[in-house]
Amino acid sequence: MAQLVTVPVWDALVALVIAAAPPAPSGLLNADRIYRDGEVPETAALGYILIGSAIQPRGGFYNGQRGRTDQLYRLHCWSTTPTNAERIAAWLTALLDGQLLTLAGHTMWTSRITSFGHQADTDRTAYQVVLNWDVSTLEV
Amino acid sequence: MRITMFVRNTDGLKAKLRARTARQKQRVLEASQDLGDEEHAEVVRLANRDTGYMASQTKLRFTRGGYNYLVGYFAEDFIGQTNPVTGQTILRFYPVDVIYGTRFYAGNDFLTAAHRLMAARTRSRYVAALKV
Repeated sequence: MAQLVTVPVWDALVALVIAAAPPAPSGLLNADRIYRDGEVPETAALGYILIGSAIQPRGGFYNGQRGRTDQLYRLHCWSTTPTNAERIAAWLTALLDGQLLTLAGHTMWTSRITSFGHQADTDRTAYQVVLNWDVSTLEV
Repeated sequence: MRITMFVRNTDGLKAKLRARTARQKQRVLEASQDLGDEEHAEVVRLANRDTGYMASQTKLRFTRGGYNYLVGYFAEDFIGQTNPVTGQTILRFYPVDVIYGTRFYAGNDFLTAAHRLMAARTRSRYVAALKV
């Protein structure tokens, strides 16, 4: 079965969000702001970005393959209200769309954000906007 | 002033074009049927499994006379149904939570993953179907 190549996109994304200029509007994000999947503390205050794993690229991708990668990542913007989730998504889109991150061993040439959808959590106390993040890189 | 072309008889040409179109339509229809079955199998393969109920409820629906297809889940197959493995009544259309995620889980969009895996094959099948 195809395996995804690990491109160090997440580290670069986390650094970008934490050092963002301009920062997110006051009160929109909690102090930690961004979490990887499986690392959200149970006590995490709402107002954060949850980064998902890469979705299988077209045609599959084999570990160790060199060259271009075209991957789709999901970014989940969680908040206490649908409106605030939309505001986080808008801020993240402005920050990331067209922004080429510096990646170890890769040159990045595409960073495109599109909306995927929105959804309430199971207990309807939290709301998310889900973004697609299309990323293309070339191994160097 | 005008420029015109006089064509004595187009019946043969029209008949050829109609026959070609009919063949193309039939091949596109066959391609859609095959691709729908393949994408359904891919979704079932990639679906998250706990009791296996969700994977077993993956549905394939053809629309527009079989030219289009949908692969996915329907709420009525979940809400109010009994999971035969656990014996419990299902209260929520939980594939949405699996695919979109929750505030502690980023989700696994295996529907999109299956569609992306099929994309190149889908394109080549339809291109082949439209060839003369």
